[in-house]
Amino acid sequence: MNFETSSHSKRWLFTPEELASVREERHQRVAQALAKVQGEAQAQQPEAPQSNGQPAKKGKKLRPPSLADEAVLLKYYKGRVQEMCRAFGFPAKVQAAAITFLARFYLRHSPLEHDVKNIMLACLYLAGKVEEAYIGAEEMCKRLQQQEETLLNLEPQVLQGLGFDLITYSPHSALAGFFMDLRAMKEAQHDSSSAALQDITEQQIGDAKKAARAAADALMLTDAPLLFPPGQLALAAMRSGFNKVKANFTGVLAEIARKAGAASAAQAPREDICGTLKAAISSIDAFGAEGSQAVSAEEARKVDRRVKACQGLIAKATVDKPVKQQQTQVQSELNGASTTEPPSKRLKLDDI
Amino acid sequence: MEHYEKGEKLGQGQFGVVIKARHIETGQIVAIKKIHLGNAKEGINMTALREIKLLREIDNPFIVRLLDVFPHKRNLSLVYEYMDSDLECLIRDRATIISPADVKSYMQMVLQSLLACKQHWVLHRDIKPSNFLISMQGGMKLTDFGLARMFGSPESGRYTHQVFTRWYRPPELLFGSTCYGPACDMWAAGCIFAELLLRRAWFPGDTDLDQLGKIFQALGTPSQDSWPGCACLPQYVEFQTTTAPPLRNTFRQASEDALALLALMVALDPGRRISVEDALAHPYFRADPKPTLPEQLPKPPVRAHNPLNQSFKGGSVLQAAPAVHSEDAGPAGDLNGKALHLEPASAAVNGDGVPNQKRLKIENGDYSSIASLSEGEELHEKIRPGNLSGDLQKQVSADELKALQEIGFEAGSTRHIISHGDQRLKKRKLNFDEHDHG
Ligand SMILES: Nc1ncnc2c1ncn2[C@@H]1O[C@H](COP(=O)(O)OP(=O)(O)O)[C@@H](O)[C@H]1O
Ligand SMILES: [Mg+2]
Repeated sequence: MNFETSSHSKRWLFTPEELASVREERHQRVAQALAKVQGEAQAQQPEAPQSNGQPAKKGKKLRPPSLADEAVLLKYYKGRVQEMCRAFGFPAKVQAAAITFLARFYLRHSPLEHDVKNIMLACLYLAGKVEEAYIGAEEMCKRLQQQEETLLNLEPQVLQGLGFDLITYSPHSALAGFFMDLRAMKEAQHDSSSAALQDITEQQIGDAKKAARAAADALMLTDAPLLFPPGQLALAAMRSGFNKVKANFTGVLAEIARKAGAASAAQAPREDICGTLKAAISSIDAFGAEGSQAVSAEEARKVDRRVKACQGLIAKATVDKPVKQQQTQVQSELNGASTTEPPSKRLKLDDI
Repeated sequence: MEHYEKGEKLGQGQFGVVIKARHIETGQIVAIKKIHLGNAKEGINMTALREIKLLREIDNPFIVRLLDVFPHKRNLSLVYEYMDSDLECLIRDRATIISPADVKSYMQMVLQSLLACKQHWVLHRDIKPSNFLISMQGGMKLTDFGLARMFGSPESGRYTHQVFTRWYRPPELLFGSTCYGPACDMWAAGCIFAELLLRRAWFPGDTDLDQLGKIFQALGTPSQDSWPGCACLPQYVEFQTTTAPPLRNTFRQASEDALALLALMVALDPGRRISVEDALAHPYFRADPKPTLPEQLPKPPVRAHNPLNQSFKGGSVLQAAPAVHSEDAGPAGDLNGKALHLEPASAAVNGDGVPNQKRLKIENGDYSSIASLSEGEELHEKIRPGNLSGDLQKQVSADELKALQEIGFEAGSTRHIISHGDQRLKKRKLNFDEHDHG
């Protein structure tokens, strides 16, 4: 598949501004729906005192988690995907696809609508299927002690949330390609006098590769895959790997830029390509630093409690009102039209 | 689904029915495949997922367009652009004349489809005439990506050799190769080329072994020279050595260029099989006669996915084209067991090459009796043979079209053929577990 013509490139790469506005809009929509539900709940029982004796008004003022809070929760679960993939022995492409699915799904949906844990499981299951590294739902759920039903019921919704775009490009595959190129370049330079790459030992390359893969894993936990093409992510990861083993990356980058220049029709001068790549790499580096900082279960649990409380409120609002119509109304406000499971049916997120 | 007005059933796919429908706002006619839940324990069917995954990425005039997908309950509906017929119907339709220039045009479109796949790093793995859909405007597009896979990424791994309908399965897969490339699709395209020229399948094997036998009978057994390394394939079987008779013996009317290209497409050694780029650049496509313009190609016959098809089994249609498979016709239950007596009447008009439109009329006239046997009186009144000139699609009402489809032209897939063929050629040397995966 060519990346240039892919759905990944056409529909799932954003500028930072686009990404912020997509999220902001989605967040507003959910916040409004929640506020409405709260308003109605208060109007219904204005006098009811809370069990702790506080006035109802104050106790019920529940703010939805901020976008930053949501990001914490998502990052936590992306990390869990990586753990599970390691436990299952899934190839990197499954891990990357599952994480990409999860990130894309929550561009359109809020954690208040769909429990992140369940969606994560459905994404992982789907990624296994899509990447032809299939593990049966039954087996997967048995090993994770989860319910198959939940996962399978969510599958169509996840697909829809992804806009049915299922082919994703990971920095890991690009990385594998670059290291293969590197080997070829080393061989080609073997006899020539300009032995820029010859200083790097095989040992260093092996270590750099490992470190680079870890760096790519870290990048997957951030927004970087929604902002940069996988080739650039891979280069940033590669440089990070080279730095780690104290090998010089400049010569390698120059070679890669030369190759890219030769391949592109535009025939941009090598300096330009090199400059562009360098600039991209330094902005990606910031994400890498962020990605390598793990989210603790404690932090995630804090956000999750807020999410749960909001979900509970919504569930209560839809259960309290006897009219069925009411439920669908709230649901569709939350979703901006599409279908969803009733919140009451959601599993408790009990194992953070 | 609320955006679509449902029409009649178009066909039965492997994993769901295909119906015709109209988009209410735009009026666009579409085909909707409703994927049924095969195995409730595994969620959405893998085949459907592959199709969605690949068709969402490919935007090409020679690949069928997936217009929309929507979930219903725990399943999915796939919406495609509507196509009137397919290449198998056309080849099987004895009344249609396919000129050498037409063959060239169809082959060019087949290869363009293959090129699109290759450019997207996709192995289709189910290339066969019934997966090339034809529109009344003459365009032809490849469909059915349910067995397709990506290739070329460093971690691709191994592939299964249990793909392709047997008649179109390349020899390396029949020998159990799990490490193959775009040449596999080229083999099948070569088989289609031959089928366009012969108007019957070139290698209608009954079993995997028989398939190899038929291939080697036509192309000679592979040798260390003609296909280095073939003896190392996992399920290699040695056959009694035969040399290839000239292709000319089989393809008497074909041009020299055509046979030259055909030979390159069905090179036994996948490494020597012509690439799709080279095939499209072959002198055959530049020589006279020039490929027919799509809009001037023969109008394809409407499809027959119908329960009544069953009634032609063993009839004259089959005699005319013995390779045609009939196991695939719809469930016999639909016939209410009453179709048995239909054979003589319908067979009489079917086999003898009456021009297409005329034949439709005659059959149409016959339909009343068939309809009354199978579906009651309802359709009986609506058939007006006078309507059936020119563009079928535009002038025939939905019910009539359905009736026509149900009258049936022989069509279907080769999946279920089970019979006992000519085993003389084979000499087993290895302990070969014969696979009969249909
Ligand atoms: N786009 C289409 N337009 C019209 N008919 C179609 C279309 N796609 C499929 N069909 C009909 O439905 C049948 C089954 O579809 P197909 O995708 O080939 O399923 P399968 O995977 O079982 O071969 C086809 O043989 C054809 O008759
Ligand atoms: Mg098909």
